[in-house]
Amino acid sequence: MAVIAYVIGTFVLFGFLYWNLSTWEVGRFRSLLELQALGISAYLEGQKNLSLEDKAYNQAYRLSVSGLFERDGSYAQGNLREIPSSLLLDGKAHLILDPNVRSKRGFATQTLFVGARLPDQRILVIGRETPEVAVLEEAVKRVFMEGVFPFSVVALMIGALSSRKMSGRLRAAQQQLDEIKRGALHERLTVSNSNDELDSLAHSVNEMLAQLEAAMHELEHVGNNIAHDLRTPLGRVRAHLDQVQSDFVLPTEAHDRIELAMNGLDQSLNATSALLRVAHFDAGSTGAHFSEFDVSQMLQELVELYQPAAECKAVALVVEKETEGFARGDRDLLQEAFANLIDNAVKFTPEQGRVEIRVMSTLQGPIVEIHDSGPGISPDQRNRVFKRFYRSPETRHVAGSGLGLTLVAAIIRLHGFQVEIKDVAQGCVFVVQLFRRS
Amino acid sequence: MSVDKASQTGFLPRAKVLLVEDDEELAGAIIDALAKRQYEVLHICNGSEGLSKVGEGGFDILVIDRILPEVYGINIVQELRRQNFNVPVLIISALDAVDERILGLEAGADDYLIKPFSLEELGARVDALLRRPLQSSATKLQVGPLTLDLLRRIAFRGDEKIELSAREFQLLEYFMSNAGRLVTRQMLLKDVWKFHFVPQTNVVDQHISKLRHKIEGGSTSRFFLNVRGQGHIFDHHG
Repeated sequence: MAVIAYVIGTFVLFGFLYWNLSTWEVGRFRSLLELQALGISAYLEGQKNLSLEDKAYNQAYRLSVSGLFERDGSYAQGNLREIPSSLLLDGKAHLILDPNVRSKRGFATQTLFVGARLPDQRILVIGRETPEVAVLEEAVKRVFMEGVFPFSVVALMIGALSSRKMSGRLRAAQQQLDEIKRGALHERLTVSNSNDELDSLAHSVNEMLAQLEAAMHELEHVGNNIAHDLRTPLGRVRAHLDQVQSDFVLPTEAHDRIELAMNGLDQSLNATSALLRVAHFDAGSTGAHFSEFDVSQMLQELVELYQPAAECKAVALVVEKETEGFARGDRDLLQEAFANLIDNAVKFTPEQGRVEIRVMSTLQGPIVEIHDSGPGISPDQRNRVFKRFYRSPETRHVAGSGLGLTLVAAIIRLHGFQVEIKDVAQGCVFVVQLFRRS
Repeated sequence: MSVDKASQTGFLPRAKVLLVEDDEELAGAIIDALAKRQYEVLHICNGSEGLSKVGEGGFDILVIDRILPEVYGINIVQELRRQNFNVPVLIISALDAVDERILGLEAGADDYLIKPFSLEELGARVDALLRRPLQSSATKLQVGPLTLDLLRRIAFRGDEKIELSAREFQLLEYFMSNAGRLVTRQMLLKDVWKFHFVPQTNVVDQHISKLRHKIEGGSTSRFFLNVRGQGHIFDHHG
């Protein structure tokens, strides 16, 4: 697009230049010629002696043609043998294409003529070719072909190269921003050393990101402190209620109320535990114990644990493994992560549904897919389900803390593994890569 | 709770517990709960004092908070094990680090509880720790009409064989060797399944309900008493 605009622009510019210069030049010739005609008319007496055929005369006046005609228009003298038919004898200059006059190249060129009646009613016609205009045209063409054209080609090539470099940088920045959008808030845009606008933009974006990151950390820190400081008093309240319940013979209703209160406390305590654990995982302040373990074996144990829960809803819960897959990580933590995923899958799959766990081996390591036949997760919610306390509008009524998947994501992140939700025709597929992306 | 406490601790008269816990309020609650189970409790508030008391010996079980003033609970356990004291240790800890379980167990603790816990849970764990050595010698378990042959891994109700999966057998074995005592879901997850997390959904109860159907069969015998919010007590409830 830009290239086409540039080419058109150049042509228009040169066309305008040429047109303007040639009009100006022709205009200059016009007035000059008109003056000359006036002059010759006035001083004709004195110039009778001069032959209009005289080359020296013509050259002195820079005339190409000149002729003197009788009243009736018949030829009297000069190198012009007849009056051009369309010429008005008004003393003004007129451009006429004279087929008799040919330029050096052999093309018919336009000639300026002035025709005037002398005081004695004879007719004077002088004419001047306009080779200057042709020369001008030639010059403009030459400048264009030898100067502007090669220059433009070079400029365009340089432009294309730098725009390729620029769009490469923009693409890289775009990718980095996508990464940041996905939550990698510690990422920064690459700043090249060219000190251009893109660099200053990248600088500003990076500064903004740093502020954002600091604010986020602050927020998380506050959140974690709150979570931690809440636990002790909540724990005490729970212990007191616990004691009341076991020390006194309470009416059933009082006993039940205390039971409800303790359940509520347990929920908040579980939520604070989960929050604290996520914080610990993300801070990397964990002594996760890494070992090599059989993924299928680990999943099989979970399937056994969840089998009765699935049977209750007549949901088929199966593991399909292609091969053995060994992963390196904290087995207990990863098992907890998968327990959460299976828990969710069973919870959201309607009766008579199916939860299928597939273990696949790749060259880099095992991949586990957990496919349920539940309602699925719409694409716009897929990133959000891993966030703290997120409950989708459709699942708000289902019991849970809203931290299960947050914990899953934190455990997976801690290992440098990947978890994502894939598109399927029906239900939902969680894909977990149990290896670090190289 | 509607359980006869004497039956739970009847064969362990006045077992001595050393409690090292700096939160006075919580310590008070723990002492009450343990005293009700007929335990004699000595409470100490800080780590260094705890360490010297432990060195004196004479305790049947230690309940130690992980984060303590002066000397950490973990260090007490390490020191204890270094000196070849084999007394069972239950670590209780606020969730200061994620890998409590590993740190605690690696240091030589026998069990751990994350704060806050129910006092019943704590009592049940202390009971279980003190019972441990008795468990391994038995080859047959009997509760009412139920018999468990631990060597051949077969369960009987009277003379009738009950078909159980390997896991169901393990579950029943755990319940029968803890007959008459509270067995919490967390204990089952940890000791039967060897899981170190608590699933969001209460899946353990569904296993128990399957097991109950199998062992009760068509008979009128009832074995499981559900203690709401806590767990189950297995016994022949007639």
